[in-house]
Amino acid sequence: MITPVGMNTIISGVRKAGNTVLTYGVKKPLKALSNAKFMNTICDSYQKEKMNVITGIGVGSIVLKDGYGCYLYVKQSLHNDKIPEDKRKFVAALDLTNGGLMILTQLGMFFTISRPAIQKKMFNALFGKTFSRAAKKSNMEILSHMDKINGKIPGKKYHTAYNQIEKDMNGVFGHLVGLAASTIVAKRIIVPFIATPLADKAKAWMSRNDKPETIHKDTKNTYNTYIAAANLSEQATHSSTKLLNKFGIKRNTAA
Amino acid sequence: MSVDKVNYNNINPSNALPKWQYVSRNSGRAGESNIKNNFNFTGRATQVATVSVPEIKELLMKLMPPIFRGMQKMKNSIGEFQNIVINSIGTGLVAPVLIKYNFLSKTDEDTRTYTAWRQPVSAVLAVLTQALITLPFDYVINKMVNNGEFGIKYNLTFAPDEKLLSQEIKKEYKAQNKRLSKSELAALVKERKQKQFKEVVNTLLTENKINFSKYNDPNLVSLPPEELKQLAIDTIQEELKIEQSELEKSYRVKTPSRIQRTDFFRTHPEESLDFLKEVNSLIDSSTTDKDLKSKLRHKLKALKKAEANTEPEIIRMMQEIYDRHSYKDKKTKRHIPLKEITKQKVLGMIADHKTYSRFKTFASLQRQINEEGVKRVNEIDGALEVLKAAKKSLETNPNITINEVYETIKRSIQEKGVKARLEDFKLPEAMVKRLEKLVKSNVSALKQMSGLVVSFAMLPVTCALLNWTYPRFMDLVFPNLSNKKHDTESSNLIERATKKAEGGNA
Repeated sequence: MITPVGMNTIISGVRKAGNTVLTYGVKKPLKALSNAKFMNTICDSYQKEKMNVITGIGVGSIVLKDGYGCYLYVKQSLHNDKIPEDKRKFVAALDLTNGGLMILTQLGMFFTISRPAIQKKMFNALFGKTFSRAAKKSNMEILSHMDKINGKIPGKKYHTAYNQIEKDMNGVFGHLVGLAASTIVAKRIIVPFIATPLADKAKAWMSRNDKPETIHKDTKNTYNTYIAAANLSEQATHSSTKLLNKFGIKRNTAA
Repeated sequence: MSVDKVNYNNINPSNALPKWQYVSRNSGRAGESNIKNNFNFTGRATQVATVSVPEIKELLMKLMPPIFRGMQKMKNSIGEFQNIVINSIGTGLVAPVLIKYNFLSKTDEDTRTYTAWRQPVSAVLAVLTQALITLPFDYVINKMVNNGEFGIKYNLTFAPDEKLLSQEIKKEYKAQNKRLSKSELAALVKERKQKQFKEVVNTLLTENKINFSKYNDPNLVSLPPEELKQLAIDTIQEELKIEQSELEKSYRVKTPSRIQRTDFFRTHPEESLDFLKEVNSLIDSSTTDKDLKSKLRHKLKALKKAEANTEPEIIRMMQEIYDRHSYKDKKTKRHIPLKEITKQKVLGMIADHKTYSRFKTFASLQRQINEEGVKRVNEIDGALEVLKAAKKSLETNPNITINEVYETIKRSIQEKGVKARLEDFKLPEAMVKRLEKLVKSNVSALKQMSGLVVSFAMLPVTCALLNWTYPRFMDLVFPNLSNKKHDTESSNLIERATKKAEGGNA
């Protein structure tokens, strides 16, 4: 039986251990990261809202993980007994081609789509009307009628607010388009189309030194994928008849 | 019409740019206007609203496409969590379809289906193991930032987080056995934040310092003097940029378009007035927003169709009227009808027509418009001078305090008569707000990088889990694909086969 005093000792012990883990496992590494020199460059980009750098870090992080993940997946898929052996090499080959192509296409797509000129064109095509002079004037008119304002809005404040919205939307649009183009279009639409046929080739390459499997007569696969085992008896009769005919033996059908 | 180059330093009304003159489609310039229209324009109240930029921004967002509100939320949550979620959406929803239905692959369909199912399993595991793990780290960073556990670059003790403030207040009230409603809590948080903000501004003015608290340390730490000065310079520079862009816009957009429009009224007085009268009667005859929009659309289409015989300025005016839209607030049921909005626009145009169609020559009209513009330009110029002087004093005088600079700015605003432009520019407040924004940006960068490291470290776990889960998931849900039959299915087949062998009926 644990006494209340003993319980308190356990709780305080657990708390102490938790604090130690938090201090040494989380807080100290975070402090070290915050003091790292490269953080100055990253912080500067965040302060200046350089969205192409911010998106670049996001895409870079995904690419880095894809590379490492590719290595791990290939290694594990090849040694995974749970995956049927005939599919194992294909799964591993698909992982390998996927990984390589994903890295290349994501980087390619990011560097193309995150060009300011392209982003500006896309943004203007979709939302240009919202930021036209006519739209600005129209919205100013509406705001001046709103209960909360009810009067003439100072032009400087109005345009500052409008420009901030335009800048924010432009930035986040570029970020999302950059990420979506890299991680969805490049990685998940373009790559699977190229990777699956390439995986066939990769599988062949991975199996180039394999010896043909010797199949024991007792474990020979006689499983028919077209007809269920329960319905096979009739088919078996037909095949035995054919065999008898082949050797010129007449089957006695009279019962 | 285009303006090739504008000399911003030469603002002489008599030297106005002739390129802005309206050139008629029929190339003939109409003479002096003798039109005396009978419209009485009573413009909207000229009372200037006292409203801040964030308030305008908030109201403007309601008028923007709904997708912008979602995008604004996404902007606030940019980071590793969001990146992983977007990546997982592609993995879980898009990739399987393309693997299964890939006509280029020669691999059998079963194997492709088997492989395709790996993607959603992998996406779910990525969110569970890599994305969710970043959340407690973000929470710890927030706590540390608000407790002053990092250096001043990541120290928000001078402007605490609203979430943490509300948690603190809740705790205080809970200790007193009191309960707070949502609105009461929000009001208290706002009040406390404002109180602290005022204290920081006051310290900046009296002691020339911005102080930060440190974790488990009663002593305060201040922003180094050089950084404080740089903060002031950058804050002034930001305001300078706004004024410069206003000046540029005035030359590049406002004055040219105004001269073009008014010159059209002068050269085509009857045509323009007839058009405005027609649109005005269209507006009067309409009953609903929909009806009016449809009438305006038809009119615009008709004008564009007859483009060869229509003055381009008429089409431009029609487009401007057509682009106006009504406002409906679903929550408050507030409705500003299109009729009201378009009427205001047309009456404004008619008032301009009345004023400017009477000018006899282009030169006199141009002089008038430039004089109107010069007043505005002079104000902007004055504001620019004030800001530049303040910036220079900070750069050249090593011992100048923020309070001294602020006092000089206030005095110069009065002397130069630029209150309308710089009335809201309060240097100390702007500096504190800027510093808060900068620290928050640094914190976002730290969260992103920590998320990257943590999710990268979790990758072997995700892989191992996928390796373990995926075949088991397939065995359980798709036994046919994984060559493993369900127990019941297998026993049924065995039973049927045995009965057949025994000669029974299956």
